[in-house]
Amino acid sequence: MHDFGFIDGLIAAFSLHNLVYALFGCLMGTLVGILPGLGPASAMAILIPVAAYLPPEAAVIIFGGIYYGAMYGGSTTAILMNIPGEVASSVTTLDGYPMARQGRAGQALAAAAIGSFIAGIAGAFAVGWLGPIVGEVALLFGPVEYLGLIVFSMTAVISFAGRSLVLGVAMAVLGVWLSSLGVDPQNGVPRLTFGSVELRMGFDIVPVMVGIFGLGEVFFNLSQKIESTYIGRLGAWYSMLPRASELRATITSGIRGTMIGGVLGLLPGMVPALTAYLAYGLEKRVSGQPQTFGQGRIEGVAAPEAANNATAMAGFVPLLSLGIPTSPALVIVLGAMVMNGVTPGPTMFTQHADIAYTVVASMFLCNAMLLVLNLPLVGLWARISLIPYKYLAPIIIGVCLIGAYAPRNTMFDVGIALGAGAFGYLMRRLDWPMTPLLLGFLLGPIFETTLRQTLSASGGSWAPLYTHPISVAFLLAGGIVLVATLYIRRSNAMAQLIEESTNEA
Amino acid sequence: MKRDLLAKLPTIVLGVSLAAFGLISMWDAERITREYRKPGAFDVVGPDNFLFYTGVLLILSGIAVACSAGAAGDGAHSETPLFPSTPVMIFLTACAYAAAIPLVGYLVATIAFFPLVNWLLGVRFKANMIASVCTVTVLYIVFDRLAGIPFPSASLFS
Repeated sequence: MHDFGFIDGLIAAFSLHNLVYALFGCLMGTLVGILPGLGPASAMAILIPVAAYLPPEAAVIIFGGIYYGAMYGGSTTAILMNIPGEVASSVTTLDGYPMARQGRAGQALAAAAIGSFIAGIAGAFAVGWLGPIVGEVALLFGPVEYLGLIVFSMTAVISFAGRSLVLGVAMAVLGVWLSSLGVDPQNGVPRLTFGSVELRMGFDIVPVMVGIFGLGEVFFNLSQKIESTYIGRLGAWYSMLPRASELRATITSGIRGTMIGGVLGLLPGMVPALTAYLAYGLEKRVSGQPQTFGQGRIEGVAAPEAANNATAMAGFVPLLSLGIPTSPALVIVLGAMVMNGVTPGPTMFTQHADIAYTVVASMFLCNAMLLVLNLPLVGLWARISLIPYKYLAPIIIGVCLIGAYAPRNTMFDVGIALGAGAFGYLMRRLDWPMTPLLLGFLLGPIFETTLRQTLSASGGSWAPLYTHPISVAFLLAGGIVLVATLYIRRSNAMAQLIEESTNEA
Repeated sequence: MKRDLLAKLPTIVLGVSLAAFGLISMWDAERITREYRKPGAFDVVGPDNFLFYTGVLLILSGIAVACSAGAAGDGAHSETPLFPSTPVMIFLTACAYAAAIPLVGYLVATIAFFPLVNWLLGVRFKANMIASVCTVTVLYIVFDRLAGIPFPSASLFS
């Protein structure tokens, strides 16, 4: 029997319906990137009810398009208005906006698009190549190894979680606790239900995500004032392309940014804004003229944009091969796949090869589409960014409430979404980290299952955790990440970026 | 000093809430042990012990959070009040909308919801009507007619 491979995935990705899904995702992603106040996780949360009615690969194609599209789109307002559409593009303002003020807005936008494209294509190759390899290694995992992996993931996410490790840990524990509400997965015993029929159903991931990332974000944005002024005239799109030495600089810095973002993006909790900052720092060192950065260096635009897109792409490797999401947006992608009956993990590239390779092939397609969308249509996107938020907010609220209701057709979930929305608002206003809460909620059941299986097999002893080599490696890696982030937090700029990214939806 | 205390208050409330959840968790774990734990019924950990130790962690986290309030610089240092009127009114309106759907049906509740929210957000009358009609129409067609989502029936009219 013919094994479904990458070529089959490419053919499937170029089918008419998948092309339409990819285009829709890219348009939505660019729009989301353009509009301050609407992040990729919010947009995906809003579209969850749509995902429920689509084939699983379609949902992932759309959500993937939104995710990397937002990375492309966020640079437009960063360059033209000094307002990053996404936190990941905040580093781009440092040289992008000065370039716009010098009348080189077109070159800056082109450099951002080219850098993102290089990262996107390289990232897609990496997912297609690394994904099956990681999956094969993961087939050797037993409950002990999975427990070690989950502890590492949670440690990494908490380490990158905003300004306070204490808050990060507390949110993660709260997430695990919330996931335990309902019926125990192994014995069917009701927990924290207090005799309520609705509470026996437990909290579904969809209303929680829609509430925190959708409604919470709307309430937060309504409490803020977002002013934007569009500057710069843009000529025809082909006049924007950098020439000669600028083109060379764009490509080489884009490659360096890709490598930084791609490698670091494999880590759970690693945020695109941080890799963008690190890539920018590298360019300053490599250039030999650090004092010229911040005044319109094209490398200062291409490298961070490449890094943030590479981080976004790299996150799909642990997501598809291990079932571990590395960012809030990928938590939602995972939720959408699970809703459609596909559980990512070690067998993703074998048992669900049709979905996996179609998604990988669509990554190439989406990145090509985004390059086309972001250059010729940049003037249009810049004008769309001026739409007042008050026109969008009611629509988002309406869709979110439907989205919360749709999976289980119960108003209880709508109530959960509203409660989660109120809590999400508080989290945004008070800079309480969201990602550990979401990850704790999503990984809580797996954590409980693997913990109980590990301790059952060992008769209650914790010894397997520190005698199984893979588990030990994960625990050590978690310790290294924790120490490394304590060092990173000594830089105020990096600490600020981590905090803003973790609370962005 | 009063301003500092107000800034720390949300984090302290969070910490106390986490500790309270932890106590509830431990209480429910004890109930499960009492009602369900029999020889051979559960694995070594069991649903009760997992809940119990999660409760312990919640209490410890809650205490740590409450004690750390203000140490790292709370986010509640913005000039904007924590509960400004616009998002609060929108939230309450959304709650009323959710409560109204089972009573009057999705369509009627939605027809009332959008113009009200647009009005609260300061959208002018003409733009409000256009936006509301378009939004209600699109949402109704997409989710009720095309997706066939079974919204609750209007109990007041049935």
